[in-house]
Amino acid sequence: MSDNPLVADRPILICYDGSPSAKHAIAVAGSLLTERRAVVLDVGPLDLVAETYAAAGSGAASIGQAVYAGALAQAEAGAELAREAGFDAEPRGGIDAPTWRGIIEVANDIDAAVIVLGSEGRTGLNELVEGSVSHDVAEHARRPVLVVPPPPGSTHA
Amino acid sequence: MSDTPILICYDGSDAADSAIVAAAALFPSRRAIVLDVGPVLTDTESIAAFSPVIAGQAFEDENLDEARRNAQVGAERARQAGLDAEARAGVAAPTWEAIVDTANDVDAAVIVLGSRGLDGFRELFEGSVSHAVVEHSTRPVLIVRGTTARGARG
Repeated sequence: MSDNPLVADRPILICYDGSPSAKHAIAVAGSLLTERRAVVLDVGPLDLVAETYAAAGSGAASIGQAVYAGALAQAEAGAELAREAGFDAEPRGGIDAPTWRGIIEVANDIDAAVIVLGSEGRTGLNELVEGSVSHDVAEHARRPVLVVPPPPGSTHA
Repeated sequence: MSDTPILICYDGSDAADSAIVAAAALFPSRRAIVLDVGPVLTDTESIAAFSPVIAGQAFEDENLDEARRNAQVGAERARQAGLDAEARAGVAAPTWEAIVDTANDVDAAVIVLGSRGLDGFRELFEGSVSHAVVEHSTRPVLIVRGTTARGARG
């Protein structure tokens, strides 16, 4: 029963990393998917925590807390944008690697009706190592995934 | 905004059926155009086409007929799911290009695609249609996996 996307009270999961692509994805989701609850998620990099642990051992816990706090703050900013777009939105932070796994775990946890993400996430080392997060989520998620391209006319980073 | 239609790509697969159900649930108040893009030649035909007996055009006509029938089936399923749906068909290669062009033509609010994930046989030849559409379209794309994975969570 819980797999039925017809159940309209299931929330949508919006992935938010603060990139222009993610901001645009929230606006587009607001125009397409109305009257749903939204959980806005940022997944912080677990590799940073792991590297710190390898380097310093005891410092990992505090780095982990800092990465989680950063992800939650980012998610809160995204939730505010989602409220402006018309969603009843709540923030959620996470730490995982690869990023797509963290996204799918939260999607399962809240039984998301759909996962929304921008096609161009936060660029940099993560994207180079992991490839496109949107491709990976679409490949591994067993629920609908809405991939939102950047707005027309935007330049690639 | 909500008068722009959704474009549902329908190839008769399990994933395409799941895509219709998901689209009807997520975008209930929109018109839907159900599209099947047939291949210019099928894999078997591309070998047969070297034979001088049957012209390539005959294959293309047959493929278009099949795409039309398929799109009608998809449109009917979409109506059963509650969408105001019409069928549309074509033959083209590559498939993604015809999907992107049609989406522009109808000014689709979103493109809906079933995806077989990593195990599609046709995807071995064509590459992933859903990935290609995401790369080349400026419109949102809803990717829906088939029912084969429904029991598992993910």
